[in-house]
Parts: sequence; C-alpha cells; structure tokens
Amino acid sequence: MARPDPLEQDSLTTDRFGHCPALWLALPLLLGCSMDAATGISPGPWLLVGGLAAVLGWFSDARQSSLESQS
Amino acid sequence: MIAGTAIGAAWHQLRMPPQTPAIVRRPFVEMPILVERATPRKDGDGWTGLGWITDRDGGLFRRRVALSVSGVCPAEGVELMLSGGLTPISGDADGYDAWLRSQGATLKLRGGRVLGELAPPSRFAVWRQAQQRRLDAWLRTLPWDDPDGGALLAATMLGRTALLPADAKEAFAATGTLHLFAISGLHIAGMAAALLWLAKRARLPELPSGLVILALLWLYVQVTGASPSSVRAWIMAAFLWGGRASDRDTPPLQSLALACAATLILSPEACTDAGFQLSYAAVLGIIAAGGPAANLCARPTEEERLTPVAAQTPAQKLRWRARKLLLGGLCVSLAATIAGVPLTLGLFGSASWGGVFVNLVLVPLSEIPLMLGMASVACSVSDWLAWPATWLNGLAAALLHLMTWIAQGCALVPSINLELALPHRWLGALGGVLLALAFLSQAQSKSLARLLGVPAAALAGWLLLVFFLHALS
Repeated sequence: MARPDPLEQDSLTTDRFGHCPALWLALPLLLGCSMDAATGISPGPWLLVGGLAAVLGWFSDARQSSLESQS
Repeated sequence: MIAGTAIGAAWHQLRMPPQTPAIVRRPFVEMPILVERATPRKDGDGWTGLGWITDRDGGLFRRRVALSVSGVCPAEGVELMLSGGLTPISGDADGYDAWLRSQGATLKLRGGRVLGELAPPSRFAVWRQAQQRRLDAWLRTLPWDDPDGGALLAATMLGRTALLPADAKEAFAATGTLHLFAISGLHIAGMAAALLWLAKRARLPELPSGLVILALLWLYVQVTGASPSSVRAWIMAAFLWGGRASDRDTPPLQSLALACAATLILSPEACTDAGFQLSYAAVLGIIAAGGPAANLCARPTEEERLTPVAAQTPAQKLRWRARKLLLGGLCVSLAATIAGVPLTLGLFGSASWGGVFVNLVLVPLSEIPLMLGMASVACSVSDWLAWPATWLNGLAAALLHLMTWIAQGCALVPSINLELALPHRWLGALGGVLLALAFLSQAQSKSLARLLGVPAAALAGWLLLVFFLHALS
C-alpha cells in the first residue's frame, strides 16, 4: 500500500486505515450483510439503529468541531 | 461504523428473497418462474439453475427456487411457466442443499417441465448464451480425438469446473488448485496484460484502447457467467486502470475494498456465496501479506549486493533469480492458503495444505494454456482461423493434461488434504473474520515474521479451538 507521508511511522491509524478509505465502506457493508444473513431480522430495526447511529455520529462530530473552533 | 453495518444489514434484508421456512401445500405445482441462472447438464439431458417465483397470489412470491428441468437450456432472464415437484430446503441442510441455501434458495423444483414462455429474455442474454455455446464447441475442437483435453480447455477458458473430467476435478480439488478453473485475477490480469501489450505495439492511444480492453474483458466476464471472482477481478482491474489513467495512486487493497463494496451494493446476497468468500479472502491474504512478504524475500542477499555486476556469473544470476521466484511464490501461495483454510473447512469439510507447494508449480504453468486458449478465442471471430485455432487448442489441451497428471501425482501424497468436519457452522465464518483481521492488522508491517506469522498464529489458534470444540462434542 502506498503511504501518503513517507515520514510517518505507522499510517494504519483509525482515521485513515492505512490510506485505504474504501475499507470503511466495504467492511461495515460486509459485516451488516453477514449479520443479516445469520439473523434474518426485518429491515425496520436495522434502519432504526442505522439512522440513530448516523444522527448521533453527526451530532458528536458537529459538537467536536464547534469545540475545536472555540478553543 | 454502526450506521454502515445497520444500513448494510437492512439493504441485505430488502434485496434477499424470503428466507423463512417455506410451506408447500401441494407437492406438484405449476408456477411462473423468472430464470436467473441456467446451466445445461453435463450429460446434455436438461438443465439446472436458479429462479424466483413471480406468482403474486400463491404465497411463495419472490422465493428463490433451485431448478432441475428437462428440455433445452433457456437464456437467463426468461420467464417460464414450469411444472414439477416442489419441496422445501431445510435451514440446517448439508452438502448440495446447504450450497443452495447459501444462494438464497428455500425451495427445489424437481422433474421440472416447461409449459410455456411468459416473457422472453433480453437480447444480450440470448447473445451471451449463444457465445458461450459457440466458444464451448470452438475450444473442444482439437486436431486429434481427445474429449477430455477439450473439456479441460473449455473448463479453463469458460470457468466451469462442472465440465472437468471427474478424476481431474478430484485431483485438482485435493491439491487445492481447483481455483485455476475459476475465472479470476489470473485470467483477467493475463488477458489485460496481453491486450495492453498488443495495444502498445500497435501504438494505439492509451485512454480509448484502455476503455475498449475493459469493455472486452467485461464481455468475457459476462459470457463466462459473471462468477464472483471474475466480477471482483474485473472491478479491481477497472479501478486500477482508472487510477493509473487519471494519475491517482490506487493501492490494490483500496481496489479490493471498492470491488467488495460495489458487489455488495449491487448484490448483497453475494456475502453468503462460497465463491465470493473464498475469492476475497485469498486476494486479501495475497495483497496484505503474500505480496509484501514476496517483496521482502526478493531483496538482494549480501552475496548479491557485494558482487559487482561485471563479476556476476550466469549461474549466480540464475540461482538468485530462482531463489526470488521460489520464495516469492511460496509467500503468495502460503498467504492465500492460510486465508482460505477456515472457509474451505467450513464449506467443504476439507482443506489442502499441499496447495501451498502444488500451486507453486501449477499457477505459472497454467498461464501457458490460458494464453493459448485466449489466442484461440481471439481466432473465433472468423471461421477462416479455425485451423490454427485447433492447433492452439491441441497444445493447450496437452499442457492441461500435464497439469492434471502433476495434480494427480501430488494427490497421491498421504494426508495432503486435511479432512475435518467443523462441530459448529459458525466456526468457519469466525475463522474467516479472525484471519481477515490478522491480515489487516499487520498489512503495513516490514517484518516477514509478522506478515505471515500473525495470520499463521491466528489460524493455529482457530484450529486449536476447533479441535477443542470437536473433542467436547
């Protein structure tokens, strides 16, 4: 894998995952599909959990950036 | 991460046919079915495939059915009125039925008969089927009478292991080399390299020729049945070429992840397909550990570094090159084998450790019949070229016989195949996840011991757990 910064010691950090951002799309999708294949729960609860997690993530991200801009 | 997982699960649930146990009130039925996949039987008597029920009033709407029907094999996408004996497939089925369940089928239609055509297939599906038949017959034409050789070549070029002679299939499966007959990166990369070389020699402009090559490869993937490994290889090739054409760095792991995401968005049920799981696991192992480990092994030795170029003898150069090829191949083969062990044990109850060594010989050797077969396919554009094509087929078939002979010889080695029935079905998936994490966790390591040692240790730990649970059960 290519490193965007050759001086960086270890670029396999959680925010970039080794300069392979598509893994953040592929891994949750694969995990979700596999979980549903194993459990077979109807889409309603999944969408509810997904929607809530997305809203919470957005709020916490917005709060963090406002705190950073204040400091 | 949680949002993505939940949305992925919801998408899978929405796209999958119903998976609840099916209730069949009458065993003999007449129902409309849209054929998704259809393959002629090897003996030529009828066809098998998958389809889904389009009757909205019968209570079985959208259910996927495994079909076994007499008559001429239809093109995919046709809607037929079929009659036959309908039986449910139980959730805890084994063997072939378990594979059918992994494809989303909950019903089987046996002794099927076509009563009529309700909607025709698309023109492209008809063309695809016609090309498949034509290529099958073209590749089987040899200068001498050799049905097995023709079948081996047709299986290699069309990615259909069902065409292989039974003894050859058994030998390739026992030595972990059956993947040579699935359309994958070996085929797509080989073809892309040959076509790019031709385009360069003909001094064609890079961008249009790249697009035409991608289109040709896509047609080849479609004609061969668009298996998960071939679709994966094509998407990866498209992203890698797109990155190069636009001067953007596209690491192979990024291309693999994009191919996985694109496949799951288009067809989320692919996640339970054995071909999908094995293909992605092996390529992840090769990209994350096998390739980097091979690069580390290819570093010049102290003797090589300290010997001036002018003083290097041909024997030394040959020895160093052989060492690099052998160690590099061993690293790649080892990584792919480690990655596939839990899945093959979970899916088929066996895994071939001998594949690590047999692949070293057969993978490079397989490129020659592949190139000859590709040249023969290129000749199929005109009947005038039938004569040279038969000789190309003959040469390729002879090499495939040699490969079969090697595989059969290696299959005789005692205990080359680890036979082990997992006590719980979830253990295979657990092992696959564990190894994927092990490969990803050290993907950028510069240590050979870590690159291959961490996944090997994870596999050893998983095997210990399996043996422990086996003893308990």
